[in-house]
Amino acid sequence: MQKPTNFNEYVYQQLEQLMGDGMPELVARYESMMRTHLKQIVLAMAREDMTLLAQQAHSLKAPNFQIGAERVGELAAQLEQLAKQQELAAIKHNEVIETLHTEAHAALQHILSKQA
Amino acid sequence: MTNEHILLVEDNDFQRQVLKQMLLYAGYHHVNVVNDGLEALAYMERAVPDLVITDLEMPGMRGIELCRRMKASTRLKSIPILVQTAMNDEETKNNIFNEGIDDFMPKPLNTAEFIARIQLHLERAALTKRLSEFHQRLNHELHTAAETLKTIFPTSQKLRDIQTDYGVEITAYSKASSELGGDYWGVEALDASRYLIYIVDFSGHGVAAALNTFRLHMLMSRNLHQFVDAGSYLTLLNHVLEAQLPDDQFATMFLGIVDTSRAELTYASAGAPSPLLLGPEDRIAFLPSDGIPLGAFPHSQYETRQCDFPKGSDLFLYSDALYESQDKQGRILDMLSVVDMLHEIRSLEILQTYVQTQYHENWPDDLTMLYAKYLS
Repeated sequence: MQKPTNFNEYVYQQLEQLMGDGMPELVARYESMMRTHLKQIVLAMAREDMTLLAQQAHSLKAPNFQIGAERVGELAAQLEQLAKQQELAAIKHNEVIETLHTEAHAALQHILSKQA
Repeated sequence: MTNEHILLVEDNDFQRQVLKQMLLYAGYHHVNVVNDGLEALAYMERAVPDLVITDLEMPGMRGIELCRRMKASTRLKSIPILVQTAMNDEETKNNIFNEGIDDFMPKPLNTAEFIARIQLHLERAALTKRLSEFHQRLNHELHTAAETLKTIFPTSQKLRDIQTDYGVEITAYSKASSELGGDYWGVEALDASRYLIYIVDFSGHGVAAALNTFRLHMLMSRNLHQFVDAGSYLTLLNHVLEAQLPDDQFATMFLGIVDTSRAELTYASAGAPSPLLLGPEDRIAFLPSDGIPLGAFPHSQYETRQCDFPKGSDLFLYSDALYESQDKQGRILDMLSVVDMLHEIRSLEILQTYVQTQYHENWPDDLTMLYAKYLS
């Protein structure tokens, strides 16, 4: 299993402390949200729909920073920016979506392993 | 646990759960959550929260538009709005504050800072609300007091009766510098041929001065039967007021008695501005007015003076605000101009129009003008 890049354990612990018994439910929401938006991002890319792509990337940004998955948050921010600027070529060339998927799955697995 | 009602506007499930938990953690249990600006506005049709926390990027109505609509609504504009957003660029921040939004929290949210800011805005809103309620109550009480104060002045019916009985037409103009004034005037029948006319100006203005006008009104209502002549009556009033008024409060007063059978005016003054007498055949004179204000010293004596007051005579009484206040051009009205304005048509009309149009709305002192016209 690949380790996520720049995962902020302190931020995660703070959130865990805040949520208490509600943490498993929050992680479940996180997982569901990640899978939904990542699928939508693939779909938006296939359709070359930059508006949808920017919206989906934006939705991933805050929750990932909030849970400590900082690299995923940064990649989502980068993708949102490029989509807003209609930089389809740059998105493809820099393999932003591929990297986002890899990092997102690594972060998700890392978080789920904490719940096991 | 706190009773404040918070409306959370957030479309992201994950963020909603985190924010709700942060609020619960801080003791805020009365939290309602909606998906976007449109739902927030619909919700606020039914209930007005104490604070709105909103995201910026949402489907439906965005956060900025929600804020714009709230600030344009009389009912919602005072609700503090805290924006939380992952868009941290300068342009977004500038737009947020330009829309009148109270605060901005970048995502990811730090629990301690988020809660501290919420508390700050709720406390500020509660203070503003209390201040507004106090202001409304004060306005209501001042309005009631002002209405009550009006009852001590002569009614239109009383002025008509005086005109019928003594042939004198009395016109009055008053403008208080605040909700309550400290000027007072009156007219009383003494017997079949004599009536009494007076004008009083208490030091200062506002509530304290208004209370003093009530004090004097009650005093005169009780002891008018002791009236002998103008000077001795002012001496009596001074004696009582000096014992009752605080050291820094006093009143100027002019008291005149018109005797229609003798066609004369007897009068006394306690430091009031010199009354203007406009006699028949354009005879104009300022009456001497040099007494000491009432309530200033315990043993002040007041001299009774006398002058002719035949039919066709007019008497103009006024408070010092007339010549101590600046008009919109910064000029102070001189008494020669006042004489011109009164003399021209022998009524208060021109002077009153001048005061109403040329003086500031925020009048610095109470003004009263009385014009008594002894009809030919």
